[in-house]
Amino acid sequence: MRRNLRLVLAGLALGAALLSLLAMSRPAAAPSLDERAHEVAETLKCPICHDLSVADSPAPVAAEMRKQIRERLAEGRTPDQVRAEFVASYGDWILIAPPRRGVNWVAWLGPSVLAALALLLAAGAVRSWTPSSTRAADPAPPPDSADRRRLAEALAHFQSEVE
Amino acid sequence: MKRPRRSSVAGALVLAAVLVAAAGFAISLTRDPNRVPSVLVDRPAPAFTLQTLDQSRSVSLGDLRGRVVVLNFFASWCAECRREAPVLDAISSDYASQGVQLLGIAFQDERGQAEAFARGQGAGWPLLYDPESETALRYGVTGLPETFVIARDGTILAKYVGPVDEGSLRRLLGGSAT
Repeated sequence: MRRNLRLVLAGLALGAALLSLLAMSRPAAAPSLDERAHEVAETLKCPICHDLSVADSPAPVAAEMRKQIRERLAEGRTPDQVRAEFVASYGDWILIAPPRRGVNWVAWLGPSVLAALALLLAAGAVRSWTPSSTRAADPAPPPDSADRRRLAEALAHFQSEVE
Repeated sequence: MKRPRRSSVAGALVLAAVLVAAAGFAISLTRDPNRVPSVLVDRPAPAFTLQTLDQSRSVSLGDLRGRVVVLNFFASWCAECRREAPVLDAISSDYASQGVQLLGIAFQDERGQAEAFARGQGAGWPLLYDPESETALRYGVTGLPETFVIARDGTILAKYVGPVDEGSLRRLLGGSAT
């Protein structure tokens, strides 16, 4: 009975695993036009409210840009082509993420480089706090006969005290 | 040879940096701050054909090839547009005979309000309606007022953001209107 139960549970687990694999292997549904338009709008800055994306800005001009984005995509243009159109009018700054070329690499790599430098400086500072032990301490000289006699006397005196 | 002390080198670098910054600041004071760099300068002006606000006719930029066009984006709700209105009026009067054509494009405004505002400011040039701000977006407009100066060959000479400075515009037109 217990063996049959184990077999049933194993079968169920295997079935569930196979179904999960099947679900993951199916291609995701293609994004709708609205989803694609929203994705492009999220990558562009509102020309009026520079701190908001075109997707999020309540400015009327942002609404018009969203409409234009949708129309251009519906005409068959790619997201990159739609973005390029706005860049041609406004310049690279209209993109939320600066393109990876020229002086813009400073924006992309700068934070990582600064973080690495900060870590190096911190590591250097921590190392300087730790006392260095580059030289081995001089080994103590072996005890001579006078030291041995004094040691024996001290031990004998200690033993007599204990007893 | 004695090596320069570190403090002397650092001091010299700081002094050099201060002098460069001061020179840059001094140069910037001589320039019109409203005349801004734009990706469109030295490129062909985006073409458009727009209806006038009173819907009486259409105006195409292409039909004005051979003239210098001063293209002004404005709105009735734009306080700074009131400041520059006398300048535009003077420019229009003084340079019309030299082939300079002013055009106004209403940005995100009602037709009637835009027309009433502009005519009230003395605008005697064509005022155009830009449905869905398509032309404004192609010109990279980010606010009002913005003014573009388009050369006789159709390329953009300059972009001004904010009320246009009369002296700066006259100097530019003095060179391009001949």
